[in-house]
Amino acid sequence: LTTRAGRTELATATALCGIELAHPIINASGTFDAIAARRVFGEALIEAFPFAAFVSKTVTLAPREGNPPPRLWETPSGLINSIGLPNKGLERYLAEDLPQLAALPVPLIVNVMGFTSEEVGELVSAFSERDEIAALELNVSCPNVETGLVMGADPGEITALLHHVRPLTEKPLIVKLTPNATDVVAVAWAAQEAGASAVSLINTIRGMALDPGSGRPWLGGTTGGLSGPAVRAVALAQVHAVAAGVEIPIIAMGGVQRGRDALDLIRAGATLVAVGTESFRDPAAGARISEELATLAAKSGVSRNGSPLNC
Amino acid sequence: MACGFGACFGCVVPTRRGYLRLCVDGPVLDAAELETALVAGAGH
Repeated sequence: LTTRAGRTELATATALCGIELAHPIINASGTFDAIAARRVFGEALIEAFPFAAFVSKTVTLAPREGNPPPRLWETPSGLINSIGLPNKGLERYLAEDLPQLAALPVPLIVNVMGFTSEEVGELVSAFSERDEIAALELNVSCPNVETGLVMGADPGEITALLHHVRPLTEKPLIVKLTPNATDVVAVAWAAQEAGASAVSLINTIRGMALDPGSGRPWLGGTTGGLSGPAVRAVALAQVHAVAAGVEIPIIAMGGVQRGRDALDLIRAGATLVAVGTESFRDPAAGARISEELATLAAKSGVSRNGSPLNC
Repeated sequence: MACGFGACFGCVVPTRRGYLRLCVDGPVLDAAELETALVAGAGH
């Protein structure tokens, strides 16, 4: 006998690669800073954490200042950013941020990026030793400086990268796919075949804005990445296509603002859904969206299997 | 500004101490600390 409450629970409790999660909503890397949120909003937001897992901002080996400003441009229903992955670098992340993030009431996923396979390997090895970390996400939206090819835009690059880093850790490896690729499904397939545990998509779509006065590029980085509701339909199509092409779990994201947006991505094949740009408008959006999703899922009879996925 | 609480790094301004987030490190900054550009070709 399935009660209404039971169905809600089935629709919300989930798991990714053996990591048990209270509900399917997590944050997109770089769009929610748990340490900054604690400082500004206090312990209440941390205790009632809006996400079922926390994905931290991209960590690189060396510290990065990020791109010159201006870094943002608003479009109809969207946001272009050219932030440039400012971060403290591996050493200071381990010393200063990891102890604070490990104290969060949800599993921690660390996003890493390197400019060569060896760099990614160093990051993966360093984080592999830390029990506080549940999984690693690989940001592959940057060029490999040795080949000049964007790692996530080329199946051969992804295969080579994973052949190097997969043996370095037993933790789940999530490959964050870029939509700026000729064939995203081919990249996802290559990732799966080379041992990726899951894929996450979409990252931002390359975009640009001109300064209306000077006619020159507005963003300090010339181009940036488009996010927000403007990209939702693109995300849905790419998630649908990747779900048909691979068997590993999918973390879907792109313009999710409401429970029904998350439900669409789950219906298209996602296991988890990430909220990004919407958290800038409302830092508690993740909690609202997961509640809306649970209500919708109970009403519509859509439910995911609550048992851990094999990956 | 996207978030207003220090998460997005969208509102940074160049200073002698590096980029500062205007939302949490400002909004009032010491004018003597400001730099016009930290990175060559930034267009400032």
